[in-house]
Amino acid sequence: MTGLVRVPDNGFELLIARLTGEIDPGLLVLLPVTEVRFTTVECIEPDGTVTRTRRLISDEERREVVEFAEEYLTDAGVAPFPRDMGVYLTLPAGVDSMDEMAGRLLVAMGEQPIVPSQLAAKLRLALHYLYR
Amino acid sequence: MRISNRWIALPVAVIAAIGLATPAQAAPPTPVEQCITAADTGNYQEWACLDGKLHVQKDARGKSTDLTLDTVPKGASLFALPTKGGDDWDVWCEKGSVCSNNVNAYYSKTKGNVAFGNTDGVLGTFDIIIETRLSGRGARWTLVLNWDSGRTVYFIDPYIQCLHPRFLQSPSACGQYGTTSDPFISSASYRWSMTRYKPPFTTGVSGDYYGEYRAKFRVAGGPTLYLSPLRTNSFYCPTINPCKFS
Repeated sequence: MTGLVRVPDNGFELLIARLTGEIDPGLLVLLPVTEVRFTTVECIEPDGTVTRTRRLISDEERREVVEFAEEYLTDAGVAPFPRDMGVYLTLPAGVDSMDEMAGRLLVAMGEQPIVPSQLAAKLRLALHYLYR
Repeated sequence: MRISNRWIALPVAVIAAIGLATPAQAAPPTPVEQCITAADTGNYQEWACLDGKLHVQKDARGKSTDLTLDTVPKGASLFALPTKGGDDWDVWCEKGSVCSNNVNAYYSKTKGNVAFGNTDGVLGTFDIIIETRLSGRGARWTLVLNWDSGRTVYFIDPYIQCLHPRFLQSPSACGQYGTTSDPFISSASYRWSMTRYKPPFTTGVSGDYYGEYRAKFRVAGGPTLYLSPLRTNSFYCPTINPCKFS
């Protein structure tokens, strides 16, 4: 096993984390969210003028992100993580990032199912292969 | 300004000019007014606008055409719209022409404001919102049509078109995701939405992708109108790893 990484607040990545926790709960760590998130809003006026505003993510946007992740995990048949908790995952040996881990799982699955309800079973198999 | 018996559709943009302008100042023409003026000058029978562009669908003689004209010069003033609903879908970017927001690497939303009218002026307004959520190498699109004011609007076969931009070529299609029903929005039913999953891109293929919605709608009692496409931000799918917004 290698480093501990912050899992993005997104359904697919959080599902990977949740299923990894089924293999070994010690691979998961939950910590209160402390990061400050920013977002950039871009507006194009009719005259072509582009206005970009960088600002803190709003409570509404944060809620949208969390609710979608919760819906995704629920649809996949697993329990959502507690709100306002950041999820950290111990990566398998030889894997350097969450992106790389997700990529390896996508390759191992062959074809990614369209909806989350069809995804969990295939991901479990691929995860066992990755953590063996 | 007089316009003869014709319906118009005007997307509108805008930032809070309303409430900020002082009465003593003569307000320059809004994008809506400029669009109306351009249509009036051309005596076009059916037309629509999005993002400052006038799309003529029937010319002065009633002949079908496909002409696009820029109508809003640099420095045009802005036009504010009423709101309905009061939640983020409605309030966000209510004053902009077309806004997009990559909330994070996996979630982006895009919004356009639309208005329509006839010789009496603007008769109604509505919003188009597209949310794109990425999961692995798949995407989920949500199309929201949000009534703001005025007449009932009927939409014809709404769908999100997935597109892949290509260098020096027109974009290639990567699927259509929609419904064959004809939803409507009105004061009594002010919001309609649909959510569709796009099948994940296979590994081994990389590229940029985006979705767009080209609204085709009929205002109660009026002709069928088209808008130029509302396009989402692009996301990138690498060869193997999950797709992301940059």
